[in-house]
Amino acid sequence: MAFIKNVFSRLKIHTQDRNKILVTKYSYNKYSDNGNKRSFKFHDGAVDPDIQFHSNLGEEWWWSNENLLIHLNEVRIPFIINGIYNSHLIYGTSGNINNLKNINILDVGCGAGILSESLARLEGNVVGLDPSTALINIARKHAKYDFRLEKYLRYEATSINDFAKSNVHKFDVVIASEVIEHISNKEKFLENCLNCLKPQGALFITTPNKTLMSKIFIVKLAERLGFVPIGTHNFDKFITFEELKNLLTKLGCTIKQTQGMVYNPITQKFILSYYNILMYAVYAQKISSFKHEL
Amino acid sequence: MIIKRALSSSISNFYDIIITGGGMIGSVLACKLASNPVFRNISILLIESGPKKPWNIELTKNKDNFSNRVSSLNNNTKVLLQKINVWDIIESCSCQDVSQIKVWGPGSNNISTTFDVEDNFNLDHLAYIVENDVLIAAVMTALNNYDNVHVLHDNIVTEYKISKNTEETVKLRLKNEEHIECNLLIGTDGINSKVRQAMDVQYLSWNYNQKAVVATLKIERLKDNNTAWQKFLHSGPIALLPLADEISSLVWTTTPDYAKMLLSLSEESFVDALNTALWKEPIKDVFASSVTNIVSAVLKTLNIHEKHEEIIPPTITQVLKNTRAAFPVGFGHAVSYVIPHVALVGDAAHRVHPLAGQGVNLGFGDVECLDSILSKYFLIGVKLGDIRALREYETIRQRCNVPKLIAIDFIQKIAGNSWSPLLATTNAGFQVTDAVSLLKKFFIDRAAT
Repeated sequence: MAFIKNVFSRLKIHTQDRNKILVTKYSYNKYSDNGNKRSFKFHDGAVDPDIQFHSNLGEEWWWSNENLLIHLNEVRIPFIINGIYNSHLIYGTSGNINNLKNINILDVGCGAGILSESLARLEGNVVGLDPSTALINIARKHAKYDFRLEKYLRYEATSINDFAKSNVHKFDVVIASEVIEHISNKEKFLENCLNCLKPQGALFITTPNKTLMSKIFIVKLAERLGFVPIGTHNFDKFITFEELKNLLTKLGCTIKQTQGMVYNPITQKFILSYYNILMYAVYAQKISSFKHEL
Repeated sequence: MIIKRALSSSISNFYDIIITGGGMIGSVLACKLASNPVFRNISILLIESGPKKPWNIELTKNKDNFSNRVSSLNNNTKVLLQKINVWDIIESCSCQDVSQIKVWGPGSNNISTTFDVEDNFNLDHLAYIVENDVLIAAVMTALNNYDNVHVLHDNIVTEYKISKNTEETVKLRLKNEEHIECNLLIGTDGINSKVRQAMDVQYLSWNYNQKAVVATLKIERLKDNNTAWQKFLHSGPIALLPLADEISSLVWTTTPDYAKMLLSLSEESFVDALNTALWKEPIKDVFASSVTNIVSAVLKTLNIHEKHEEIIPPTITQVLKNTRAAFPVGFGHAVSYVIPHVALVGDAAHRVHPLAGQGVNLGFGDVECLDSILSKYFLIGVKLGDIRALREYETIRQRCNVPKLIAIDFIQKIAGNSWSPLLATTNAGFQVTDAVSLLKKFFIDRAAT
């Protein structure tokens, strides 16, 4: 019952806010229509309409319980921590306490810092990277609410392409969570990510799969029912599990662990599962210390 | 303390968790959180309005004076106290195991239910009777071992500022005009919780128009004193809880006027009144006794054996000096236990009739649950006081607490009533529960967890 009520209330909100959403959608379409003629030029292959779209969401990012990315933390953080432990970046665990002390983490496409803040609370040295200055400003503003983050968290409003040039082999862990589905040139993007990574470092990627199911549930239904804002995803840019695996192997990575992720709208919780048709998480280790051409 | 603050935070007067109310629930919660390795780097403040009490284990061991405020702790609570290393201290001071509970009503002395520890193989004892003061003193001593928790005695919060902006901290003003802030405020300040009032949540409550008279009694008993007795009367239940050899604690729930009278009686007359109430002739009721016979016949056809054991309650010989007191009983339940950055635990969230001895155990259940949920979310980098973690705590605890509150309220309404249909129902209830061991096991399980 609660679920149905929830859905209805979401639909109601959407009829009320239709005008606003239509405007957002219109601006999105306008950018896509332009195709290659981009009004903003970014060098990392990230496409400006997507950046513009996420910037427009603004403060909405941190409206707790509404943003699915906050719920996603419950599965992606254990996945990341598990991977970090397995990659032997941390020697000697102290019981079951998650602590990322002295681990340099790069969160690529951090948005408003939903994942970055949580990792910084676990005392990892986190750098949040996002090409949108508006989002980085929101992230910086939000991080001020928790004075402990100051020591561990730093945001940079720049593209991965520029950032990678000056930060070669700097990070133990690079995370691109729910980002790669917004990138056009995925190979270039992954190459940049891997350049920032130390040899033997860990790369974590979470993204929706490119399947019929994800088209129905993630692009169509989730947007219609208001679980994600309309126009968040562009199915054409999704990447299948196999494609990503091949791409990573080609770039000199070993796939260490993969995991599917499923959202239960009734309990409003994500769960890790073997079922990777909807969304998946990949943990890859950088093997070759070969510096990729910039 | 200055060093501790400098270590734990950069803002002075900031604590991660503030617990208001250093009673049984508050102190155990502080100890449980402080002992959790996950929270070793966070700062916890416990604010208690009472003064710091000097406490000496040796003195408590050899004392003859027993406090009149005691609690019946169940097995889950024992496990919780073992985890925070205070159970051993309590056990060495004053703790009486209960291995049998005898319950009977006003209808007949032959119709009763005896809960025996042998009915359930999972348990060592049905319950443990512990003086509240001993429990608090043991926990306060244990708190000294943890340097991430600070206890502020003799102080109260005079103002709560809970911001509408869910990201901002909770600001408190203390009696001495000091201002403190926290990420998570936990209200363990009992039935008239100030935190609950500040939270502005709906609170469902009613009074039973009853008062509980407590006292410490000397009883005449040759065998080990490990049986708890409870007689349901029209005015409310009388419970005798074993406290030591020959010493029992009384919880006599009755009408406010009669309670007032009982307190004003001389010691001898009080003992007489109590013995009379316990030994009172059963109410003769034709309808009730015929129902009893029918139930007996049904049980016989079903081949369920009835014991027909006559209840012989202990004789009270003396009431200890200055141990009589009375407090009101009532029902209360906060519709919501949590808002962003604030949570209610124990009696602040729910209040229950003392007839089943469950009130404090439900509170300890809250403590255990809140600790595990907070640490679960803390480990994935969620800020303390985040509403998601608190909502999960609320859901789990309300699922557990509400059925018990309803069941206890139901028993309070039914049992002991002398109106003949209800008397018959009570008697039938005792008969069936006593005869069907599965039902008995169910009740023991519910009370123990």
